[in-house]
Amino acid sequence: MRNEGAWNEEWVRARGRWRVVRARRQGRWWRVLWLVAGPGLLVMLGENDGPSMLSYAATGAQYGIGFFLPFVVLTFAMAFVAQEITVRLGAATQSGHAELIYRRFGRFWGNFAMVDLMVTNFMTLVTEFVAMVAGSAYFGVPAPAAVAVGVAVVSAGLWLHRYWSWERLTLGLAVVNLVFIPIALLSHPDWGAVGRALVTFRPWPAGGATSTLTMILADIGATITPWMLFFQQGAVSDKGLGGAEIPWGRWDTALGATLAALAALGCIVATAPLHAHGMNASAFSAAAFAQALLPWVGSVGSALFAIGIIEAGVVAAATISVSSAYAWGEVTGQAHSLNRSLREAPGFYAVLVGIAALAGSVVLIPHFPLETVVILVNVVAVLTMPPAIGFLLLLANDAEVVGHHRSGRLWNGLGIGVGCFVALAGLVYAVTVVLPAVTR
Amino acid sequence: MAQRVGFDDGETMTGLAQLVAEQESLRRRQATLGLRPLTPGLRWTLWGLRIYVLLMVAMVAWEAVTAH
Repeated sequence: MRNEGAWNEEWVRARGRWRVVRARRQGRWWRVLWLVAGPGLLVMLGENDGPSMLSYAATGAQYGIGFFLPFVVLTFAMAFVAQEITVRLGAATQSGHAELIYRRFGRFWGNFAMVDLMVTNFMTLVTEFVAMVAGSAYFGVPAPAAVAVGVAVVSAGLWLHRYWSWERLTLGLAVVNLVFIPIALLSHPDWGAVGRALVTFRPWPAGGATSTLTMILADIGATITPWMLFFQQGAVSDKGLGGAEIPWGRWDTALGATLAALAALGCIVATAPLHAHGMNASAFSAAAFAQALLPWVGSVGSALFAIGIIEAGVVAAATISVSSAYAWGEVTGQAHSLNRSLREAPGFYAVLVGIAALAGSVVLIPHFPLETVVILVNVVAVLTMPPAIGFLLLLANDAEVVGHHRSGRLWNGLGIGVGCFVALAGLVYAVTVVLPAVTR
Repeated sequence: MAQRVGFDDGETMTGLAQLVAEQESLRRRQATLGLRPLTPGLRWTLWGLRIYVLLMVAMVAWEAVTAH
């Protein structure tokens, strides 16, 4: 017998889905896309987080316009392959990712997956607050105030009580990620060079093999991470999307990947003048990038850059906190939905706000090795991806779980390709970190 | 419940009831699923991936500690 809160949650989801059904019957396809879009957009724009945007900025500043432009597009294509599977899993099962792993593989393997998720989520959250503080510093905002505002935004779900409202609010913030496109325009790039680079992957990166390899792997870690799998499947399930909405969820994910790739490309192109003028950006923070770009993008462009970094941190902090809370609720069997109130799901909201507040507090600890955490977070994210993709592919091929929505040969081939690529990248990354002399 | 969710016409209520029933049915089906049988090959793959993560993270942690 389910309680009133659970029934209310189901009715709220059904109401959202009914709107989609009506729009589909009326042939209003743009409205269908508007109603279904959200989880894919949020996960992709959310993954353009603080450390990711700093990684793209460093890429542009150190290597300019060339190989990395099409490479970043390739990483987003890989992210799309992985995230498309979560749409099918969430819509076909109405269950979260952690829930399915525990149910089909047991507590032993489930606990490993949860430890991977929680460790990488917490480390990534710390870096999101580092980005918020660094971006806010450009406007002279003190660190405690930046952290407090960040935690307040993450806590929005507490008073919204609806997945839909939370999603639209966070989407509104996530759209700010696109400011990197006008910043790129302000830098007056050589569009011919941009077009040639996108088609030919040239010029190849100049400089040391180790630093280039590290940048390649940092850009992979900036696009594909475990929290994305848990978040999107949880969001698809919480939104109540069903099997009929899977094609639309696919479009949502593709749109998110396209916009996020454009923002990432914009960031690389915007910082390319630093490379052209021989500036050493290896130790730049967010505020330093904004200051350094002043001669090429003007005060408006610099301010937009700082705003973009703040947004990247805030949106990622919100989505990563929600992914942690979903996973906690799925594993413990407690209520875990943004359609519930604080009274109905106290544990869910305690995890959501608590993990963000804890990560924000860490940033304020004097002399805490934040730079080490920022460097390590992408490494650990890349290293924990292979088992996450392994579970993802096994679940997507489990006919008892997904029925006729199981992966076909094409998606399996692409999924295995992404898994092998990330595993290999992790190995090479670890070798460069642990045995730098090997790649020197 | 109809007033609470903001709809009150018959067609909508029928549609909503069907969708809720469908969601419930999906959830019930998932709840009855047991553990997936792991073949030796699958078990080795999972252990391989797990050892990969543990070794790599241990190496990176060691590097981070010794670097400071």
